Amino acid sequence: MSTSAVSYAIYAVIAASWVAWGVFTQVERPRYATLGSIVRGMMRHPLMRWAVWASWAFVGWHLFVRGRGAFK
Amino acid sequence: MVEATHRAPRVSWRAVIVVAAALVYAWIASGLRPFTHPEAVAVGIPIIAAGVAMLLPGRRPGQAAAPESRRGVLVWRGLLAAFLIWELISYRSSPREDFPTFSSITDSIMSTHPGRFALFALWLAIGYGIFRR
Repeated sequence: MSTSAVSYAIYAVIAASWVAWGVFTQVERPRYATLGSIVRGMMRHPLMRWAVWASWAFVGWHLFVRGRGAFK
Repeated sequence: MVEATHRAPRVSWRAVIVVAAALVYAWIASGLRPFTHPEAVAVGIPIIAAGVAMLLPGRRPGQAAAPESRRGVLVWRGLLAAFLIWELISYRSSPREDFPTFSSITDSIMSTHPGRFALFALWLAIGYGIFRR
């Protein structure tokens, strides 16, 4: 198995775990915290709210404006 | 006579227009080239709009949110940590072909206009979901 295949497989496992846990918490809510409820909780704190905004802004700027060369 | 007490949710024209406008905006913005001023403006507008939305007053008094469950938060933190750690390992490793980062994976998705449009629309939708007041 090549190194790149292992790398992609690790990303795939992480992504699948996110989806599986996301579906589980949605089905089991309100017993378990969903990603939405965590973000809602963060948005209630003034500082965390801006951290969420900065993270979302960074992802958009990095992906669409700067591309992969942002750190080069 | 039995009267129905549960109505199916109706989609308003306002919602349809907003979604259509957002999709048109995403299609136009995703057609612009990276590292250009027009693309910076197209991405900057939603970022500034979200920032302004955060400055506006939130929920009205009496609409306080119910306390949320904390069960499973540790799992979410673990999943985020797993992603960030692997992203950092990949970023620090080379060659990029063997150690793709999240950015290099999305770059291949965004090599076509429909792929770039899909990610831009997803980014806008996530932002709307987070910052709507």
